[in-house]
Amino acid sequence: MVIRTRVAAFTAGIVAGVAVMATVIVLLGWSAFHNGFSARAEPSGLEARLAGAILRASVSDRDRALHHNMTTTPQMLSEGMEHYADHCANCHANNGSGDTMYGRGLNPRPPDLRLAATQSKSDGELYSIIQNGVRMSGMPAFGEPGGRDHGSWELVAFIRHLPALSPEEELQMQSMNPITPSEMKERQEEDDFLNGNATTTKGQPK
Amino acid sequence: MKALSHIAAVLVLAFAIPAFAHGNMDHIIGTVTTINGKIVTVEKDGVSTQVALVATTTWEANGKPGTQADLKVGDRVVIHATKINNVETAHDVRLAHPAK
Repeated sequence: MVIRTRVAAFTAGIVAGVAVMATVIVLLGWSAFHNGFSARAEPSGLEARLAGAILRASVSDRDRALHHNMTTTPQMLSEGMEHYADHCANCHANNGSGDTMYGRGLNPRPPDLRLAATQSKSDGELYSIIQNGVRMSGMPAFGEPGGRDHGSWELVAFIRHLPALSPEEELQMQSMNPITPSEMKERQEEDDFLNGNATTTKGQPK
Repeated sequence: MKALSHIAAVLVLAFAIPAFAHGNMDHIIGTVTTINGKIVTVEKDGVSTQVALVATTTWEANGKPGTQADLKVGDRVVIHATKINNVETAHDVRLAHPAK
């Protein structure tokens, strides 16, 4: 009798579990088909938590404990800034906020690098993310497999500096950002207009 | 059950393929004709455009970091803005005071 009761309870548990799973899948499916898979949508709480878990799991304990064994010098910061402005700012923004055309269009969004969620990571964790990227996100792997890259350590040093980035440094970085020939021409036209010698400036919103 | 829910969530995430946004911000170029609180009117070639200034708007005045306090009627401005609820909303403003 006791065994029968336990079997019934176990079976009921299985059925309930399957029912809950089926409901979740149906709801997720309905949501996906109803709302589409647009990257514009904010990731759900479930996605955000899972992405965080995947990110944490993607860095090994060995990598998390890595140190660059160097004192951060002004030159290291300067080179990190240049490197960051050239390679990272398109998505992460010069100030680390992620408020760029690409950053706003990515899903999951790039994190605000100035905030605790990033700043509380170890140097090794940041280095590993730069070197190895993050799966199922827009973050590529920038390093060679197994390599030890001084440039990535410079980036780690600069990311540590982001919360204290001055407006002057942010402005300086604009001249380091990669731009296309058409953007360069556009920028020149804007500068010409601001300097009072405009010849071919565009008018109102495109 | 826990494992199954993780698998389901992974499957959901697997479809969350990163995508790049396209398009760009509006470039609003002209001379400031009015400043009314957080709304600035910019005119060029007889066409006026109103732009909303927000807390996140970044500023550059005469090539240096600036603030909204630097903005005056008569300044030449280049504003990169995005339409939000049909209102041009400034992302960044570069301004130059008219030569004296």
